[in-house]
Amino acid sequence: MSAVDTAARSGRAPSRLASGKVARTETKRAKTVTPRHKRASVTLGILMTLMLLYCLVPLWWLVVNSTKTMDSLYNSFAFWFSGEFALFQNIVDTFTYKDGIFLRWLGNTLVYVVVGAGGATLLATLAGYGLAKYNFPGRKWVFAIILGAMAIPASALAVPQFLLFSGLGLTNTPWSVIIPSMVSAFGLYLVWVYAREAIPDELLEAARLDGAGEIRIFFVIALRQLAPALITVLMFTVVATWNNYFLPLIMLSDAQWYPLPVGLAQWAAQSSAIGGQAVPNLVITGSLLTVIPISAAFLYLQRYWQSGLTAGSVK
Amino acid sequence: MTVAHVHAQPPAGVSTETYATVATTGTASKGGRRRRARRDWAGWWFVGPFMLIFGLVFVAPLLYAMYLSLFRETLMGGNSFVGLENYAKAMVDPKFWEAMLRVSIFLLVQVPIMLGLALFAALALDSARLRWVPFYRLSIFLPYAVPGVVAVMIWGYMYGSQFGLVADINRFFGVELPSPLAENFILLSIGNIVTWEFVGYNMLIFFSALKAVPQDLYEAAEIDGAGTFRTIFSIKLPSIRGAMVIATIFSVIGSFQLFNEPSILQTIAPNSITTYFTPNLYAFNLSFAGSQFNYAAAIAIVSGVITMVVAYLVQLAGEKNETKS
Amino acid sequence: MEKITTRRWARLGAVVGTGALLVGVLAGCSGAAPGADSGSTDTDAALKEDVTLTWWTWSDTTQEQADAISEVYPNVTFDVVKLENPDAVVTKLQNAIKAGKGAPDIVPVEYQTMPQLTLGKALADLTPYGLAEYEDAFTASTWNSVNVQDQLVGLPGDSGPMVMIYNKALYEKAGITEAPTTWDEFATASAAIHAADPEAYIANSGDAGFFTSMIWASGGQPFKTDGENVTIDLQDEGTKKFADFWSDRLNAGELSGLATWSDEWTKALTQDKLGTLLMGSWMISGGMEDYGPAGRFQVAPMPTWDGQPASAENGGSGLSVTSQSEHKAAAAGILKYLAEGDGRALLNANGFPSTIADLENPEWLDAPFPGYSDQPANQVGAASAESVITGWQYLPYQGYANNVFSDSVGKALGSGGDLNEALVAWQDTLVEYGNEQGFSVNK
Repeated sequence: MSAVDTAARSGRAPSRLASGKVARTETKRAKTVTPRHKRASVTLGILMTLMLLYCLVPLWWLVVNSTKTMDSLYNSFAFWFSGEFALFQNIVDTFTYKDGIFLRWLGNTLVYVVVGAGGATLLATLAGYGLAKYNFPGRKWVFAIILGAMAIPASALAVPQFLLFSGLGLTNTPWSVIIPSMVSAFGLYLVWVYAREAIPDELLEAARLDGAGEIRIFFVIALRQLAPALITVLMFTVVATWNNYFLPLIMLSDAQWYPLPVGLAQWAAQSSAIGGQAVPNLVITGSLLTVIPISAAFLYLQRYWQSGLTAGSVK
Repeated sequence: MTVAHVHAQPPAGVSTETYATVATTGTASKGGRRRRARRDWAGWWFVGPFMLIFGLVFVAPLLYAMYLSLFRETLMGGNSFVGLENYAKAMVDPKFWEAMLRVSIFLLVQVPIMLGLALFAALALDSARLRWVPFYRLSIFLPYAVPGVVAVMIWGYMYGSQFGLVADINRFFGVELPSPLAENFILLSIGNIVTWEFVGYNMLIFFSALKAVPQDLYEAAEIDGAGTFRTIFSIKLPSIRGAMVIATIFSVIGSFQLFNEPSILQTIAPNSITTYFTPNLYAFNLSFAGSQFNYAAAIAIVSGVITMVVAYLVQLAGEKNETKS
Repeated sequence: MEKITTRRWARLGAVVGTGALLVGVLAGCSGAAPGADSGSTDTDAALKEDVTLTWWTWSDTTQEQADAISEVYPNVTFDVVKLENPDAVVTKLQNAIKAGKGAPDIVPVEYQTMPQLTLGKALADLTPYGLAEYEDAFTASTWNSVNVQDQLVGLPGDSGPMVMIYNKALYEKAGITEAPTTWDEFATASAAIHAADPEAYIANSGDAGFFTSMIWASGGQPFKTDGENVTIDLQDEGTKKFADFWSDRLNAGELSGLATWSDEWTKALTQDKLGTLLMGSWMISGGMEDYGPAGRFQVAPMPTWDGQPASAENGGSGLSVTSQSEHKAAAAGILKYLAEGDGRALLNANGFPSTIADLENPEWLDAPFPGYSDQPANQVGAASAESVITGWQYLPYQGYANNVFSDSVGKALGSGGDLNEALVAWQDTLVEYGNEQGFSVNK
């Protein structure tokens, strides 16, 4: 009970995060907008550049080392290019190693992301909207259960989860990865607080008076209002699904269903088995190839996200 | 507040007249600030699908874990009902509490540093005194997009004191840095990886919240002649307090659930990371290496309860600050 | 009033629904046990029928082997599933057994985990299928490893009599021209190597598998199992001998802390910073050529305490049929094929053999290894196989033991200190665990 209350009270934060209220008030504030540019601060620039380096140096390592042959990988300074420029050879090798299993993993990951993250976003949006805009029997319990479950360590549920999924015949199938990915409690939470502020009840009432059904109201009216929150949730669930490691590791035994992170970990670990070959150059290049699409996706989504956000605040 | 919700133009799908009627009469005639929809079952159409999957993925395994925690199955002795014995054992298990202590230290040190950095970066991006804001924002966020497996691999390399970055620094400066993978420093090293991974994520949460602070407030402050720092402390920080509480709660939960980083790092530092390094790792090893599924379930539930309590305390603290300011 | 009733029913319905789901699933968990197998033990007949066998592996070459077998038995198709390493295979197999389904038909099992998986009822007894008759074909130590708790739970695959693979150039740089034959000489070499290059080490401190094998090679026999009676003595003479010796190396700073198989460890080998591998003979053909130019490494017998040959097994694995398999007879038939003749050659193509005929085959023994500058390295391994000390046993919960090794002995290896104390701490954990699990340990 108290969990529900406190969550409700602290709910203001993500609503601003998603800027629903702000976007709505744009007409009211339009007249007061003034440019806020001041003189650039050198100290701030230096401090932020240090932070930038901290964030980018490890990625620099990844880029540099994916251009190296196995030999120079072991025998050269790791933060600068050395020897033959083998990036393209490495990429070719990564995609052709073991009959192109990397491509298969890439495809798996894409499916998991599209169905899992897409499903998670849809379900979270529906449920967040439902919680925000409807008062239905059991509403408080729904909330308490979701919040409570979030505090239970996911890996602690791994064994029971595995046994249940196994009982349902789902282990070692893509569903064992997709179905758990479809639950985003955080996403639900974001949409819930956002919908409370962004969708005026009057709007829904008006639509009802016009004779629209509840489902139609959601898809025709509410969804549009929820777009910025939806993009935010989508971004987080896409990253989470793309990087999902622990769950597939337990659920899947067949490498043909692996997503990229698990596959890469397998390549990294295979040198410790007889008949296994050490392929650090492929692990590194594969890692780079794993990071690039997700960064691009983020860049792409972020544009929408930012426009949804800034529309109301800094325009 | 409610006024702000009213559109000048009715959104698509609603006729102008109806909208105008409801918008003007809706709030006044009911006399309430906000009118909830009728209390009926319609909400379940929306919440139902989520709850169905949620029930399958979380609730059912959780109930099953609770059920499991009441039994003890052994390799030789078979399965027997033991009531709360597993919980009693957990209460006095030094390994479990050592793990709890370790994540608590992690929480008290890593979380403030990470959130502090994230807040600083967000304020800097929002200060209008920094050029190339999008470039900084993207670069700092980028590590969040790196899979944990890859992040640990990269940092694991840098931590190498014989061939990694640490070795290079030692040789270049002629110093002898302690190995980041040694037992005494491993927690710090893990903290660094986690900070690297999530500082951008938190920064973005703070930054978005800052972006949503109404301009009027800044203008008012400017008229009052408030300086940069006063603006930060009297306007910006109070305005994003909610975001800070949420970020803290998620970091608290994340700390207690610490698993991926130590478990992957174990392959290169097996002698520094015990099987009970974090509560989560302990539960995992108990079930997968020791076949102690029942005790592992009890450990998981106890640590889940502790996590909930701490997260709740953080919320309370957040609210207390609110009433003060 | 009516509404409340509805709600109550709904809530009840939800509870019942979840409960039913749980009960159904749990019933599924325990119900689907090994029943589906026909029970026939006629392997020849089984192989004449169309059957698909799932074969887990951690090796890259299993697919080729499976393809070759399919040519001999056209009715048999294989679904080869590659997992990353032996640990992953054990974990996933145990999960499948616990879940009641999902286990493969054929699975490779390391000798050291066979007792544990047998105890967990994961492996089928192969005696009824006529595999016991191959006993004479195998070395005593590997045959002993697959006979657990009065059952034949596997067919020996490769074996791992220990050898010393050393970096000749690195030893010579330190003035050591002959491979050490005793541990005293090894100690001298160790000090010399580290003195000549402070970044070079004779060896890394090692993991649980290494430690138990070294205890074995030193004559220790810390684990004894007889039914449910288990005795653990990690302070017996052989164990102490090795622990003292290794403590001295450790505290002199002569052991590298790099984890075996890690990237840094590989790098150390390629850059002449790590002098020696004390490993099973499977490592002879395990890709040492990746670690440096031909001739850098040489293979030598294990050093011993008294100069008399003494060795142990390190690693090595057999092939088992799981208790869940619905095609046990067919799977056992495949193992039979692999036990001798063409099948055996297929299995031996990539590992160090466990069959006596192969170990005595002159062609194999004299084969030169270009990576070791044409040294006939198999001879060293074959000699080691003959001097493996008999009587060693692993714990019936060795997987757990190796897992918690890092909590006590591993910790000491990482931060220095007396390994004997750490071994006692390890023993305490193992005794407590064993008694909790229903064994009678040290009673």
